[in-house]
Amino acid sequence: MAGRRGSANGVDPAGPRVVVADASAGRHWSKSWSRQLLGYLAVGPVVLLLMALLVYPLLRTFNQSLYDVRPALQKNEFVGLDGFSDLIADPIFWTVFVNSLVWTIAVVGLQFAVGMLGAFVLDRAFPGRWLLRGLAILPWAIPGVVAAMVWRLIYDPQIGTLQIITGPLGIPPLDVLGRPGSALWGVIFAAVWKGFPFWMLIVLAALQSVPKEQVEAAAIDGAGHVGVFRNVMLPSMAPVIRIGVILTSIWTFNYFEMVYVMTKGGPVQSSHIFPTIIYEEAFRKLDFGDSSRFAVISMLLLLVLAIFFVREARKSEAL
Amino acid sequence: MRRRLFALAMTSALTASLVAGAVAAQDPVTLKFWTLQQSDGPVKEAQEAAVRDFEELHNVKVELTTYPYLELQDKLLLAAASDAAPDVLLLDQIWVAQYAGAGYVEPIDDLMAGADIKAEDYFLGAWNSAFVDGKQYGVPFDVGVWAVMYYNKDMFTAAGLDPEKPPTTWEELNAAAAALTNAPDQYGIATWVGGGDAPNCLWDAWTFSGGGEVIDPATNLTGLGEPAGVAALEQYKKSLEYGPEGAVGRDVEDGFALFTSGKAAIMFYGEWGQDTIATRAPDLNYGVALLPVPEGGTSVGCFGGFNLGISSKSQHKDLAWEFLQYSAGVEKQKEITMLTPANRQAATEYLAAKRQYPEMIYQQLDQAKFRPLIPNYPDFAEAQRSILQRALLGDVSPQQALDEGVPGLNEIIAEAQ
Repeated sequence: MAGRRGSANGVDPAGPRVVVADASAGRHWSKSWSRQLLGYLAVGPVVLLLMALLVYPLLRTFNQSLYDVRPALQKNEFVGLDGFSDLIADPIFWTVFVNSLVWTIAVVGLQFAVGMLGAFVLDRAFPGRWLLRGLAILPWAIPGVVAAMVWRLIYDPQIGTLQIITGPLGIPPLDVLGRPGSALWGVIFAAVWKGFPFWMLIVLAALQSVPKEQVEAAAIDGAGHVGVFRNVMLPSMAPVIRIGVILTSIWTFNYFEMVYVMTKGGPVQSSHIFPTIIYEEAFRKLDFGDSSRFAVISMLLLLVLAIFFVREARKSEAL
Repeated sequence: MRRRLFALAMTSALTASLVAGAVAAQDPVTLKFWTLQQSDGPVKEAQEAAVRDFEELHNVKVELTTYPYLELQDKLLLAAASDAAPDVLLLDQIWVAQYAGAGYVEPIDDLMAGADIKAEDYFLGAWNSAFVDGKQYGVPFDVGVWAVMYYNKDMFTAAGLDPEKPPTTWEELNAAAAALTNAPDQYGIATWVGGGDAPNCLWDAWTFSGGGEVIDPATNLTGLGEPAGVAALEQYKKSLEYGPEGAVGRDVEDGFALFTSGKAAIMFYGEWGQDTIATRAPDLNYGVALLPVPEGGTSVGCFGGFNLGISSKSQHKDLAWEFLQYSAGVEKQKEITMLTPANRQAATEYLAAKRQYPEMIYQQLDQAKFRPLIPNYPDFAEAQRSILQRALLGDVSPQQALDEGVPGLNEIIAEAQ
């Protein structure tokens, strides 16, 4: 690896110039300084934009989370961390917290499992594979809101496709989205359907990177299918899978429209996750304080995932 | 070097154009108005035509944007909170107190002083729905009432019921609904609950009809836990027996589809549903009647509808006021309202021309009461809906759901004081 990186530097036109710069310092100092200035000028506007669009709102949200901000009640008072302790004492917070964990783990886990199975099927050559590969991508290509509307219809206890299947089997109509125990799971399955093609593509791509000769060698040495999978294929796909898990976890944690369109967080507020409650608090109830507190806690949780992501990204760079 | 300079120039130009786009100057004489589409009817065309007339009359431009209800609700609040609201605000009655509390909408008392517009020309409930803390925040645009009863006359005949004598009390309603139910092919009632404000309205209306109050003005406590409110919730629950499974997840529009597709014989819906039935099921032989009431009660509906207000951040408040008067006047009201005109004279003519049972509807609009006019109504509505959903899901009895939920409702009311 190191060797390859070195040779890549070798063909970089910047390389030799740097060496020359050391020889005649004065003239080149000003030259490299002007180049640095140019660099700052080039990235400057982008950095400023990022500050305005990312850093400022972030700090503002942190600040606002320490206030009771409810414009309709003319409230804008500093409450410090009391706002957080009140929030944590509210059962809705724990519903949201647990739901968000269940939602993220179940969606990512099932998407991964289904996507992996799909990838193994589509990795084998068979007639019509191109067509199936194309069709399998469809759920991922459909806009989230459309998919959510379609799944609402599928679950409809009167006219839904699900009842058309379960009805003749003697299963009574299920009101999947209308009951607190099942509403979130109804959305989870819809989200798995929507997102598994992404995993299928990732795993398909990763499968290409598995050295064929190792697989063959292992098979000749008597490793069974499971053995080959566990000891040869999985290790070489692991970095891709790890990053995939972290990325899809972040996306899923923040995925708003499926839950909002299908259940609006109901019934009895039983299917809220962080993004939907943040939205409800801010734009329905005009409670910017609670909304910011939910947002800050949600961001801290995401930060944990992000740290994993950065570590993994470094690791795979080092490979 | 040249290439780098070029890249720098491009980056800066791009950034500059982004920033410039964001602060581009507005045309000074453009009035912005966001409206909505609420039933299957030609209202949008009529509103556009009215706007063109207004433009000619005042030599200005009006930027009219039409949204569905939920989008309007979200976008308008977001825009108001970030000082970017349109000049003229179309506010659902239940939003007025929230907007007034937050200072997003301008009081119009001073403007009213010299104007022709008079409170008594409008339905009292509609006019007062824009009156918050001693100030008038808008003029009524249109009104609706939750709910009236739509019923399928052919199904009544087939079930041996008299289609000209629809049920008037809960007892009669439940008996008729039982006779009309032949699951899974036909149901007595197109039951719905769902997530919006409609289920609150139906519960409120049944509470009003039993002589109760949602917020008792004498005590400033909720009346939903009092006998009239409890009875209304129990009847709501009872009615689910005559509808298809899954009422809690089904919203009012899904319920409407059950009625127009011939799956259910009775539907509770706002009085403006006739246009939609005419579009979706033109051959449906149906009647409209008062919402059935408890024994000895009077049918009092729950008000819905919209008010027009002026954004407190508007640069063209005088022009916006002209637009309000123009839109709330008798002639325009007959053409451009989504629901029934709020102006009494316009409503009389409108109902006579466009509705079956115009007198019954007029009477309902005249008697209806509005939902709590408190700035934190969204909190109240959600807590109320949670009680309703819990009771209807059957995990707890209506009485128990209320016992556990009423203190929370009273806390929300207290916060608003």
